[in-house]
Parts: sequence; C-alpha cells; structure tokens
Amino acid sequence: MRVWFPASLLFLVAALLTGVLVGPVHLGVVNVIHASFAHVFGLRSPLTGADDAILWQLRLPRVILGAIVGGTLAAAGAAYQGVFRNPLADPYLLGAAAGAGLGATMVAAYAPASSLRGDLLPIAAFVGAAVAVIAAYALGRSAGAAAGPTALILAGVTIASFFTALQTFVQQQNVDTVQEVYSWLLGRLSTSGWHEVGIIVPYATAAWLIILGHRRLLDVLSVGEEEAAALGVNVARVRLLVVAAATIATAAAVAVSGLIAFVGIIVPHTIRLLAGGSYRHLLPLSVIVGAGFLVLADVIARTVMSPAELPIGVVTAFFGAPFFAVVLRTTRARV
Amino acid sequence: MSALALDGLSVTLGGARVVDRLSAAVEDGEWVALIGPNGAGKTTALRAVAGLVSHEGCVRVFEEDTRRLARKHLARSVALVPQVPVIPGGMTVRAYVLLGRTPYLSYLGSERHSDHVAADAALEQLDLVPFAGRRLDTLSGGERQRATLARALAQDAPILLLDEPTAALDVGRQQQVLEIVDALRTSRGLTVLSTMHDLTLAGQYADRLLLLDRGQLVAAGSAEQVLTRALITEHYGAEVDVVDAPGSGFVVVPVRRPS
Repeated sequence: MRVWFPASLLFLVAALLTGVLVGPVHLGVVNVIHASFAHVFGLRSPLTGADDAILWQLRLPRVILGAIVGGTLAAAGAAYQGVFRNPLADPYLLGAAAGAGLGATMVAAYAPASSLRGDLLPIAAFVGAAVAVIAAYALGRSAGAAAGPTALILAGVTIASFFTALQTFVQQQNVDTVQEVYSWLLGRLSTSGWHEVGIIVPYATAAWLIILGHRRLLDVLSVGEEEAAALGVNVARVRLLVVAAATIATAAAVAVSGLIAFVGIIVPHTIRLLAGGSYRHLLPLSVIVGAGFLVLADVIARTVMSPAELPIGVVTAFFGAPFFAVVLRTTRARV
Repeated sequence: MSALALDGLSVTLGGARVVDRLSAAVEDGEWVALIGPNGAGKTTALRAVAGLVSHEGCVRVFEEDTRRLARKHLARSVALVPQVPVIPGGMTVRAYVLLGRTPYLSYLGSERHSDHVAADAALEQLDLVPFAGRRLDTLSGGERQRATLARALAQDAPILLLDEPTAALDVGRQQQVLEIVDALRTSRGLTVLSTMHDLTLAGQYADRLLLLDRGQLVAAGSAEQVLTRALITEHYGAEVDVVDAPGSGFVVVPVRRPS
C-alpha cells in the first residue's frame, strides 16, 4: 500500500515534465525547471523571450490545466462510484454532459458572433451541466428516499435523454454550427494563457477538499445504505454533499475543456485493481494519477498528428481502454 | 429497567401493516427471540428498533424514545447484524470491523487510538486476528458472519439486534455462532433481540420467545410455553411434534403423515 503514493507522485512529476518538454521547440529539462521556479518566485528566467513565452504562456498553462481537469474528473468519477455503489458511474452520470452540450449548442446557435461568444460558451456549458444535475436530483428525490440511488440514476438517464433531444433539435435548426459544437464536445485542452486555469482552480480545489474529506464516509457507504444508516450515518446528506461537489467540479472541467470521456471510470478502476478499493487511498490516488494521465493523453493528442491536434477524448478512450483491459487481465486472480 | 421497550409499535410498508401494535419489553442482559412464519414482521420489527423504517407507537432504548435520539446516538446503543449483510469484497476484515466505530466519529473525522483498540478487541473476541488482513471476499460464509458480528461488537452498543444470525450456516456453524453470541452476552453484558427460523435453536438459546403472526404478537414466554404443538400448527400451518428432550430443551420435529 505504502508504495503506491510515492509511485503515483513520481508518475505525476514525470507526466508534468513530459508535458512541458514535448513540443516543436526544444527547451531543455534544466531550463524548464529553472524558468518555472523563476516565474513563480519572480526571478529572472534563463530562457530567451520567445522560448520563455512558449513555456510560460503556452505549455505550462496547458499542462497545469490538463492536470487539474484530469485529477478532478478522476476524483469525481471515484466519488460518484462511491455514493451510487455502481462501478460504471462516471462524472457525467446525472446528465452533466448532456446539460453542458445543450448549453454550448445554444450559445453556438443563438449568440451573436462576437468576441464575447468565446467567453459565453464555457459559462453556458457550466450552467447547463449544473441545471441538468439539479433537475435529475430533484426528479430522483421526488421518487422518495426509499427509492434510493437507483431512482437518481434513472432520473439522470431521463434528464440526459431530454437534454440531448433538445440539443439535437437546436443543432438540426442550425446545421452550420455543428462543426463548432462537435469539436468542443470532443474535448480539448487548448488554452489562452492562464485564463482557463484561473476559472477552474477555485471549483476544483473546493471539490477536492469536500470529496477527500468524505473518503472515510464513502467507505462506510460501501456496506449499503441501510447498514450505513444503522451505523449512524446520514446517507442522504453524504450523497448530496459529495454529488454537489463532484458535479460543480465536473461542470467547471467541462466548461474549460469540453467533454473528456473515460478518465472518471478508467483511473479509479485501475487504482482499485492495483492498490485496493478503500476510498481512503482511492480518492487521493485518483487525483494524482488522473492528473498525470490526462497530461500524458494531451501530449499524445498534440503530437501524433502534429501540427494538427486530435481531440483529447479520442486519445483517452483509444489508449485508456486497452490499458484497462491489460490491468483487468493481469489482476484477474484478485478480482 | 428494560433495555428495550416496544409500546404499540406499528409499521406500515406500501399500504400494508407489517407490524401491528407490538408491545414487548426486553430486560437488560436478556436474550429474546422473535419467531413466526415468513412475513410475520420479525425483520421489520428489528429494522424499526434500529431506526431504519418509520413507525407508529414508541420504541424506548434505556427509557429514551428512539425518535428523540440522533441517528448517531441510537447507533451507540443499538447494533444491527442484518440477515444478508452487504459485503464490500475488496475491503480487509480489519477495515470492515473498524466501520463499527462510525457512531463515535465526527462527520469528517477519522479513527483515533481508542477506536483501533475497540476494533482489535472485537477481532480478538471472534478469533479473527489471523484474518485481519484478508479481503472479505476470500472468507467463507461462517467467517463473514463472524466478521459482521465483530463489526457490531466494535460498535460497543449494549443492545445487539440479530436478524437470522444462522440463516446461511451449516449446523456446526449455527451452534458456533449462537454460542459466541451467548458468551458475548455474558462477558459484555449485552442484551440480545434476534429473529430465528429454527425453533429448536431459538428455544435452546433465548430466555424468552415472542411469536409473531401477521404482524401481531400471538404468544410470549418460555420455550415450554410457546413451542407447543397447538401454537405451531395454528400459526405456521405445520405438522410438528414437540419433544421434551432432557438436556436439549424442546425439540420441534416436522412430521410427515402417510397420505
């Protein structure tokens, strides 16, 4: 057990370094580390002006954004799997993806083309995701507490289909926007400096703190609602807090990076298979490994067809799925 | 003082009255078994005592109305061992037993030294120390049952609710588990309320039996008073003989009449 924390941190550091080093312009390991610290502490960077801008304005914000989004999606996925006791739960389970898609489509279709439109899209995606999850939660709760998590999941499916139908309708009315919406939906980590990082940091930090704070209670929930209640836990409150935190963070991630599939399922499950199922280890490890995983996926997304970029969601699924299959096979005896 | 007092306890589930004006008391240190045919309301009565279903009437735990107790405080007085516990397969036995300390922890807090001591004591009392590091899904049915009992013990509650504690066990494991419960009752001064299918075992281990039928209490008393051919025939619809076996109590034997 003890070995997994240092190992995952090492993986994250290696991923971050790979992320800032790989690119058309060679910067050098020592320079990159030196220059990064120089910026953080307000010192003079050893890199020339152009190289320094490539590092500080292009690569570093993108790598940091990837790490935050990856860590957030993985932790949110693990948290959803915990509160719903459903191994297939992912951060988009309660309709966040469909809501964000609808929000983004509405902006692409109806907002006047102006410089503001670029800023409006993430906000609409965030609001759409939040509205969808709140609607699903309200619908699920109306079925009564006794219906439990299954009612919530069904409500999420209902809301997601409804929002997707609306989105498709709007898109059909405005066929010219399909390209814009589609490329956004597939997810990307292109940044304009530190702006996107600034957007997601407060949400991600709050969500990580709340989700990690509940790591022991998620272990208690693993014995089922009834037994958890008999152990004195207010199951509904735990679920509401964890789902709220995971949803807000997911909505923020979707707003800055579009829909990146698979991270929320594959990272927590890989950790479960390797390091065990206790949420005390699973949640912090998910943040660390999810961060590294998405940074590496982004490196692949922007190098494989360089100078063109692959949507990062394609990369996470294409490389993630076989990797997961290998993990599943090699640990078969223990599952 | 009664450890547990039910006063006109009624539970309605999906429009059907499953437990109907049940009044009974369990004295401190006593073992009372709820018996009755399938659907008599035994399990629902236990769940009501544990605060897991809403009920009418009153449940008092050491004189306190459970509806006025916070969930956490109720869990410090009453520990429930369900008939089919949910087993989180990947969890170690030790981590599982430690879950029993949940009622003593603050919302986001984690276990302290005293909680680990309590979990270790529970593991030791149920001979689970060699299993502490094993995953639950590698245990046999009997070992899992002991792990769930250990979790309930770690809860340090004076009242233990057991729902069919021997349901999935062979005759040897049944005896073993019931002997353990009886020993714990003595050593820890626990009060036990359990549902039991096996009438002979119920008579052997419980101080008193409560016979439920369609939610209502129809007989209460010692094995001799409750395990009678007339009562069992009437409420179970079963053909039985009851044999008074010296040293073994009252043995309920199903009888097959030649047709």
